Amino acid sequence: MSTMGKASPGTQVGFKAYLWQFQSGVVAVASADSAGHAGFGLGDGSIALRPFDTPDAETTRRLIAHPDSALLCLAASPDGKGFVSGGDDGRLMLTTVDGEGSELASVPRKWIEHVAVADNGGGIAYAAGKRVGLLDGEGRPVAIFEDHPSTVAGLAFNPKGKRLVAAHYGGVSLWWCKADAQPAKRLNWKGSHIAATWSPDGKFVMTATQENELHGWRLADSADMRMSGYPTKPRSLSWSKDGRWLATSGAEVVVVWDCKGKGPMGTAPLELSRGAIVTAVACHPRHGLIASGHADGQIRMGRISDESSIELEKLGAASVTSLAWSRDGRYLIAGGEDGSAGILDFGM
Amino acid sequence: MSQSLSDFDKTPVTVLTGYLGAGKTTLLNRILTENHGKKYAVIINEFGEIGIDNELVVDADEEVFEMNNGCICCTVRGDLIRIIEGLFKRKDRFDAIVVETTGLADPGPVAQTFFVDDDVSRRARLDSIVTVVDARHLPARLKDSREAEEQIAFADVIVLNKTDLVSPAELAEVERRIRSVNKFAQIHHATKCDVALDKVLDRGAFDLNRILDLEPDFLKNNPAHGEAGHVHDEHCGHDHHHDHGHHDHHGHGHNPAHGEAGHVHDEHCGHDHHHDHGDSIHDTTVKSVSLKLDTPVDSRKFDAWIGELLATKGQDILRSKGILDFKGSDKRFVFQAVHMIKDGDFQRDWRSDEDRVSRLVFIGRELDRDALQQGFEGCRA
Repeated sequence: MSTMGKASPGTQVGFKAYLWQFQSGVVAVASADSAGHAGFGLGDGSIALRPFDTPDAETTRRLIAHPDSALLCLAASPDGKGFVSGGDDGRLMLTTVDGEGSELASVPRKWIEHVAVADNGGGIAYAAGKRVGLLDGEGRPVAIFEDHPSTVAGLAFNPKGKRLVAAHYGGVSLWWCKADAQPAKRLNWKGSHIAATWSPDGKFVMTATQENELHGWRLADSADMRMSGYPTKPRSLSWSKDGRWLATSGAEVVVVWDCKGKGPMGTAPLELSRGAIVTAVACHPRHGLIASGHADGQIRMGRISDESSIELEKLGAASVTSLAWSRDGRYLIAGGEDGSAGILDFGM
Repeated sequence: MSQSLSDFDKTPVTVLTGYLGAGKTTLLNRILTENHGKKYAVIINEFGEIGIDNELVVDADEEVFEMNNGCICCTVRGDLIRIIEGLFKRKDRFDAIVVETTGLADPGPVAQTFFVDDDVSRRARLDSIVTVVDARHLPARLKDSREAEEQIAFADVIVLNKTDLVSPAELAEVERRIRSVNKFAQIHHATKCDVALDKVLDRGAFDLNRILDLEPDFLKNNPAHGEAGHVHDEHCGHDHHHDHGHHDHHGHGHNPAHGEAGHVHDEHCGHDHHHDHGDSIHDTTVKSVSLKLDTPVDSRKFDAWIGELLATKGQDILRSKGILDFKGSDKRFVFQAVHMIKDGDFQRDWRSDEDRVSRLVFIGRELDRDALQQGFEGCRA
């Protein structure tokens, strides 16, 4: 299936869309750039693969990463040749596009709910209950950080891959990515923090909270920032390439905070791509564009410079759960709660 | 909040509570093994007593979180929010969920999780809270454990187990004690938890349309289930709304003057209250208070009164339920709340052969019957 994007005044976007449906819901999507494949982590424990250059139904392959279990999180592997996934079988799996699977970690009777891979490929981290495990870029164990006051509900590396942030009840814990025994640096804020991200300039750590707020800390002085007004939890967070803008889900628009200077608190955010509640956001890796997935299955694209937006495709009937760009910015990968899935190719 | 408490296409969740040794695990294993055609996902606590024979068993950590919204009674189970979301990533594996709590758990946060978190309430609905108690040991438990009392207070269904180990007189006394704490729960006698499972599962105890079918003691005039007039699906199609008491928090400190409609007798109002301990006994602090009005109620006055009452006393009021005769409507208004989270809706028409009487039941601590009655009286139209 292929279509042309609908153009709104002043905006011309051409793309080919490949859309299809899996039996099982899409939990997360990722791009294995070196291998040229899109990966779809499915609730049934498998990872479905499609090559970017021929994303047709007959090229789809299914690799069972978590037999008889649910896959709970997915990221591209550090070398870009496959995927790292966690499941409710308590296993962290590395699955290459060639179909080879290996177990990187196992935490019996726990769920591995979060996985993060450093941008520079230098490390992998996972969360299982209160435990955060750190592996190097080849998947060898480096350290285990257990000192969290509650289950870790969000995990991210800093841009250089040297530090980790773990979100939990009462705030976040910051860890250095090394084997040495160390105390966690705690940044406290009451309530349950359910997602975390580190700004590309390294200055801010931001979290989503159970109370439908975005929270942030300026690391230089641990100053708190509080950004409220979301009708739902702003759990999908994505930074613009230049590190200035933080796009967030959780409202009927993509709420985009300007994080230059002292930070976004007290500033008015940009509002892009109005529609049903935004459930996933992904900033384009090169341009000032933000893709958004919505609760009704719609995918939109907004432009930061003039706050314009267009509808791209209706992925399915249910919420878009995950969006990811290929590193070159040519392909947008999307997955939905109802198993709807797609690759949008902008390279024309 | 956009979701209603009573939406039947959501996955039903049965919460199973009870003190250690009461027989909770026996009942759980019966639920899982009997032939009822349903697949259950079971969420157990880490320190579970014995093995559970089921395909989908999840260990929970019972992480009780205070919501950061300024309300200390608004606690939820953070682990349940995560687990339920995780389970729904593969929803073909189960039709219903059972949550087993530890013997020491306060059921409040479990119940509130289903109403406070939108992602949970979008998919799952609390069906009922089932508490298993040991007929022989309950009196001792009530003496030394606040949790044992709360588990009874929150229950929709109480399985009074091990009745073969007590005399008829002891059994009657235990039952009287349970009733003093909780007037509206259904009590089923059992030995080895041999209660019929349809008395425990799929009760719809939090569904406004079914509340009154389940409470023979609460509404004596109510015809038995199955009799004419007891249809409970007749209004299912219309919009429900429910309300979260926290949004009323600005009402704090705005208690209307003493004597005015809506005044709540609290610790600030400066006169002595008569504490009526008629229903309570020495070693229990939770009791049920039931109130009655035989003339129509003004809906606006009631909303104002109950809103203020739950906003200020919701910490002590564990559960409340009611049926109201609002002036200007021929339909019965049904009301329920868990702590401060309340829900109300018009149900079926009043029938010509029933008394149009408004009734309310509160279960909680520090309940001042006179003050509650006076407040309720102030809602007369």
